[in-house]
Amino acid sequence: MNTSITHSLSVVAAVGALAVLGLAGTGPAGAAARPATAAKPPHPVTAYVANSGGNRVTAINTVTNKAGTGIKVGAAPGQIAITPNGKTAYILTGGSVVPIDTATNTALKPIKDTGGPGYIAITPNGKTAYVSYCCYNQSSDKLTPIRTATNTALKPITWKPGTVYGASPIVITPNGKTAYVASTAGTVTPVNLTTSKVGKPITFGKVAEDGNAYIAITPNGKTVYVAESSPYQPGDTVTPISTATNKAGKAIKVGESPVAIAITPNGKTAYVASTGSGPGG
Amino acid sequence: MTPISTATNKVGKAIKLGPTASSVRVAITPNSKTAYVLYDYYVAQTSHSYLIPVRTASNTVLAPVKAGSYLNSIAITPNGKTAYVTSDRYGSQGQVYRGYVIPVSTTTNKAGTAIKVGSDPGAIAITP
Repeated sequence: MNTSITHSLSVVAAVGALAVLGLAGTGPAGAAARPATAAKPPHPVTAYVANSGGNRVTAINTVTNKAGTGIKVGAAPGQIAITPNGKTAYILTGGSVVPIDTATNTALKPIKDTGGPGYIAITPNGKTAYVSYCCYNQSSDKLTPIRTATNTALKPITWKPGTVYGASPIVITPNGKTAYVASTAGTVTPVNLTTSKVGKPITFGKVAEDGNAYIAITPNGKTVYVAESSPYQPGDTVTPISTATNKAGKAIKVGESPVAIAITPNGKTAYVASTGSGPGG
Repeated sequence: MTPISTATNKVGKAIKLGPTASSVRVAITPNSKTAYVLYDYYVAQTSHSYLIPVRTASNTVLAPVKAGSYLNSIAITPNGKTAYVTSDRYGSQGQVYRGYVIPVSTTTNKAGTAIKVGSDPGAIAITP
């Protein structure tokens, strides 16, 4: 059972990231709002699934629900992010980032030296992917930019305090100017993506031993919601951070052990899901 | 699950989902109408996994969709019609690892035929 639980924790905060990626990629109304006259996409909408226990990614045609043969990407594929134009899927694996050409479903040359990856987020203009790191006992946090035009890694951006446990989820403001990186150090670090300068970490909690951090941003980019939980200090709050001031607001009480934050595409409601027996249940 | 108004940061009434969970994920349809909660919990060391639709207008829980076991992650298509969930083992296959992706229609909230993928499927992402 332990393996199973650890495994689910390792992929857990995908939620927030996924929701935000969806927004960045499709705009608040999503493809549903696409006018009937719009050109058809060059290939069917495809779901990419990482076989975290193997070394492949499976592409599923969402029209036919047929799975292709696995695309070999390297050991332990984890998080996946897709560029807003849908042309490239980036897969985090142990030690590298593997781009997949979505037109042909072939793996391109791995981008090396991005090891121990945690999360990935792509700027709304699709030009840069940012990869955060994992895991235990990192002395500093690190964000590696990848230029998507050439699939090359740029100079990593580092700071302290860094990830203490787990991986650090990333959100990017809809204007593409700032990334917020949450960490189990109980901090959120703003990074100016124009200058690659790191802002002062914003403290929202204590060190969450063996825990995970979760983050989401409203579609208007005004508020970041962040939470953390660990088996020892389950936690029962989520903290709003104003992106205008980079100041943490008053912590909001939620159910015990928050493990997912998702914000409706219309920006009205943030849902915080908890595993515990608290009021959130 | 707790709804928070982003305008006021005030908490709405907590939405009861089930017993203490082993993992929870959330994805919301592009039209903001439904939040799908992937809820996985153990009873007698057996994983019980449900996809729970929550109507966001009223924060009411609709009938849970039974969708495999050991659910991992969820993604919704850009047209909002299908939610895909990854499942480590399907049905009651004991210790045999069988990776599936289960499509769930967001119109009928019914699970479609499970799609076999490699073992231990984790993250899922869908092109725009």
